[in-house]
Amino acid sequence: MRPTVDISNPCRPEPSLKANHVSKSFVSGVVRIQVLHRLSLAVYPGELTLISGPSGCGKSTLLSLLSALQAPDEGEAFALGHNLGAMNKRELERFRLQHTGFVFQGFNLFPALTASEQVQLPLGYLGIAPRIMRERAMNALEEVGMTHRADLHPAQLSGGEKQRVAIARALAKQPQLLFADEPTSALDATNGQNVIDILHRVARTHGTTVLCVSHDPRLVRHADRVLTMEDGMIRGDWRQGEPLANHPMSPEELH
Amino acid sequence: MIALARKTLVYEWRRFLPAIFAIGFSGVLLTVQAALVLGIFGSAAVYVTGSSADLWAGYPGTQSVNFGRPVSDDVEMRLRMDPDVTAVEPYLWVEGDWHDAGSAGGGVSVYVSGIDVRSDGMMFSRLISSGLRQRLREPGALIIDRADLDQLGVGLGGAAWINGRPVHVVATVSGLRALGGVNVLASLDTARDLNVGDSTTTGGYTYFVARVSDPAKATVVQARLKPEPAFGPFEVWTADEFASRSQLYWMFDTGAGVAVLFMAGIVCLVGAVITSQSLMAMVVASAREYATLNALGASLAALSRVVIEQACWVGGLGLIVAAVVSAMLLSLAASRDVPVAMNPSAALICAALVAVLALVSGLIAVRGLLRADPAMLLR
Repeated sequence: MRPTVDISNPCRPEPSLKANHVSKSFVSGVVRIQVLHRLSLAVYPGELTLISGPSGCGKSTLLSLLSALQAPDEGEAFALGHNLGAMNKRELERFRLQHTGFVFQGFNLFPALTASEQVQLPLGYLGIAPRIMRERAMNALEEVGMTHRADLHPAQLSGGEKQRVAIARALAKQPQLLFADEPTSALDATNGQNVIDILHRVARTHGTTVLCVSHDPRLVRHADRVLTMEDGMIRGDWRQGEPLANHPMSPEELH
Repeated sequence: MIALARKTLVYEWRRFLPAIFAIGFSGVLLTVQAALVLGIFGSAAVYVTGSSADLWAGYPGTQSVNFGRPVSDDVEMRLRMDPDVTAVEPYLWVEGDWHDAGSAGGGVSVYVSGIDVRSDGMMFSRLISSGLRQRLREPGALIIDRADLDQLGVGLGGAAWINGRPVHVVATVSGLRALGGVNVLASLDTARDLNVGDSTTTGGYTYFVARVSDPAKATVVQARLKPEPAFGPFEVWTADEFASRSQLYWMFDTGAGVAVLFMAGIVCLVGAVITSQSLMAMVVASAREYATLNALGASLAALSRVVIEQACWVGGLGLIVAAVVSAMLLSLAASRDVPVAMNPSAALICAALVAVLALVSGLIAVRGLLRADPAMLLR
C-alpha cells in the first residue's frame, strides 16, 4: 500500500513546495525511461526534509522539478505558492535568484575567487551594494564557521571547507528555499556531519525550507522528515518523533 | 559586483594564452600584410611621392605613372600660362634593358627617369640632395637604389649598358625600389640618349610637372587647366590624385589587391576559429561553475556578458602583443630594405579588425554556455 502524503494537516504551516501528480521521463537512446510516476508531495518550511532512496529512483529529478530547474512532463509544481509551470525561463531565473539556494555534490567554486568573493558573487546579480554584499558574505561565512578562511582560494581549502563555502554562497541570498543534492557524499564522516548540522540549523533558525536529496544513511537521523523513494514513487514518509517502527529504513541502516 | 571575468583571467592566465596569442598573431599577420601592401603598392607612386611637384600633366587617361606616353612640348607652355604656376619641368620616362659587364644573355628591365638636374629640380627632390642631382650632369651618370645593386650586378662607380649605351653608377640612395622594374635616375639628356624605342615612346617628354604658388591652390589650378586641342592631348592631375591613381591601379586593376583582401579574410577566419575554440574550451571547463551560478539565479545573459568581457580582455591583450611584435618586425623589415610602410589609418583599421575578431570569437564562445545547464549538476 502506498502511503499518502498529508498536505492538509491543520497543525502545520502552508507547504512551501508542492508537487501535484508530476511525471517525468527521459529518452535514453531509443528507450523512454519513466523516472517519476504521477507523484504528489508537500514540503514545509522550517524543517530539513530528506529524500532518500537508491540511485536512479528519481529523487534528484524530483528536486529539479521542485527547484524550477526542470519542468515536469505532466502535473504541476508549486514553490512559495507560484505555479512554476506558468513562468517563462526568465521569470524562473528571477524566481531562483530571489528565493532559492543550491548546494551540489561537487562544490563548483570558481578557482579564481576567494571564499568571500564566491559568496558575494550571486549577491551581485541581486543588485546589492558592495558594502552590504561584503557584510552579508561575512555573515554567511560566519554561519558555516569559515570567516577565518574568507580570503583563501578553493585550491587552499579542504573538501569540507569548500562545501561550507558553497553552503555560505547559497545562504548569503537569505533564500526561503534551500536545495541540497547529495551534499555529503564527497565528504568524510566528520565533515558530512558538520554540513548536515549546518543545514539543519538553517532550517530551524531561519525558517527556511531545506530539501535535501541523499542516499547517505548517516543523514537520516538528523532530518526532521524522511521521504523514501523507489522507482519514481514515494514509499515512506517518516517524521522525527514518530516510532522508528514506522520508519521505512531498517534500524541497522539507521545506526 | 565581483569582477569574475577579470579575476579569472588573472588567476588562470596560462589558460588564456592560446587565445591571446591567436588574436596577437592574427593582428601581426594583418599588420604586416597591410604594411607590405602599403610599401609595395606605395612604391608604384614613388615618382610622385618622392617629388615636390604639385601638378602633373601627362597623356589623357594615364592610369599609372609607368604607363605614360609622350605629350607635346606645348603643354609646358600651357602650364606656364597659368598665373599661379611658378615652375615647370619636364620628366622623361624611358624603359630600358640593362646589361652589366658580366651578363651574357638577357638583361634586366629598368625604368629610366630622366630628370631636370638644376639644383631646385622638383623630380625626386625628396629622395636625392641637390648635390647628388648635380652629379647626374655627367653623360651616362645614373643614381640607383642601393638594394638594387646586386640585381643589376654593379657596384658604386661600376659601368653597364642600357639599350646598348654605356652608363655608370655615380651614387646610390634608398627608397627608389618599385614594382615591375628597377628604377634608375638619369639626367634628361642621358635619358633621351637612351631612348631608342619605337616612335610611340620616343618624341616629346612623358610628363611636365609644375609647382604652384600655394600648394593649397593645386586643385583650383588643376581645374583651370582643361584639355585644349591647340596644345595636343594632355590631362592634369594633382600630385595626390596621380599618386593614388597609380597605387589603386596596381592594387585593384592588377588583381593583387583582391588577393591581399582574400588573404586578410583568411587570416581573420583562422584567427576567429582558433580564438573562439580556446575561449570555448575555457567556458566548457567552467561549465559546472557557470551552471551553479545559473541555478542560483544569474541569467544566461549575465553569464554571456562574463564570456564577452573575457573575450574583450583577450582582444586587448592580443592587440598589445600584435602592436609590439608588428613594430619589431616592421622595423626589422625596413632596416633590410623590405618595402614596408604604415600609416595611422591603416594601423587603426588593423586594430579595429582585431577587436572585431575578438568580439566575434567571444560571441561564438558564448554558445559554450549552453552546456552549463543546471540540471546537469543533479545526479
